Amino acid sequence: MTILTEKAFSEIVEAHTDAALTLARYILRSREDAEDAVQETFIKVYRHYHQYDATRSLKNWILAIAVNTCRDLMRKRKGTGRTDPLESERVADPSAGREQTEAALLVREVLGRLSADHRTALLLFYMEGNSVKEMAKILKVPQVVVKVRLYRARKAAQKILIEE
Amino acid sequence: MTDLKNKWEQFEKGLASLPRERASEALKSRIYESARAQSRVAPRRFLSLRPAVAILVFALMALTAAAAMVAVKVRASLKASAVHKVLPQSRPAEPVAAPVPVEPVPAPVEPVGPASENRSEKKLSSMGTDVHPPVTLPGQSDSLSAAGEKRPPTGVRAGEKAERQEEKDIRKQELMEKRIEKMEREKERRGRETNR
Repeated sequence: MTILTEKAFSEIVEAHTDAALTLARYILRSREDAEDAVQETFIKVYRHYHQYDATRSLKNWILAIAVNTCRDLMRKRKGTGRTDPLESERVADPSAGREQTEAALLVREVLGRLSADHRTALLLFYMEGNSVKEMAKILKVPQVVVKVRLYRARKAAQKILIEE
Repeated sequence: MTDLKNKWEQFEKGLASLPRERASEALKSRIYESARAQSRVAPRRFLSLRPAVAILVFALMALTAAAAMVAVKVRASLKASAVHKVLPQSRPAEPVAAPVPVEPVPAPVEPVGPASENRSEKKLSSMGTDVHPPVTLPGQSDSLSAAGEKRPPTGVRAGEKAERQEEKDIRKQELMEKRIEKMEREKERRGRETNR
């Protein structure tokens, strides 16, 4: 059993918080929710570190936990009737127009209209640069399912792009 | 179609170059705090002991309790048997002392009764060698005291203890009365002899 020391844990937090937060942010479309999810993710990392298989990538293991935590959070907050934060951010954030390119705005627009599964698949593939095999490990589904999900996500995104 | 292709390329580029989030120090400190809280709750590992160990511990505790109960019962029964040995139900009759010619006793006969027990006892003891003091059977007083007077009863249930003590008291009372009666008879006999 691997015991996680405080120092080792802080190193892990420093190295992987940004990636987990970015993924959670785009899946949940809210900074606040994403921070909650990341906090929960690292608590899980701390508690279940002994279950970590050292042959696997630590980053992917943490991202897998983050994805599952985001799913749980979305399930919990399904009935709360939250507004789409990405939509509101575009208007509310005055610095967004300056910093973000047109492409980034387009991406946000499309991601905001995709389902959570499709959004997660596209983010893991294009943003994180994972292969289908790695995605299958992160999402704990067969590779075929990942391929199908990616195909459907692309189709849905294209449909939205045509409508734009 | 080309429009869609362009848009898609733009979309793919945008996805790859999405701005990365930077975790604030506040978030990191929140994470560390939570982790520390988790480690503080670590003692609950005891609860997640393997069931076999938990069962073993429970069985040991049960065995200890059972052994303690058996020990208490055995001690109580031993005590009870010791009391019965010392004070048998049918006590043999006291041997009557042979009439001995002695000097007349000037003391008047005291009335016999539970109220005058102490007085008569006192009187008898003050009579010196003329009258036999309350005689105890060989080993009787020792056994009596060994049975319950000196040793405080321990380890027996309160009800049983009280009953046993009551029985002892009654027996003592009877014994005392018998002795007093005997002494009275002795006195009367001597008085009659003197008169003759």
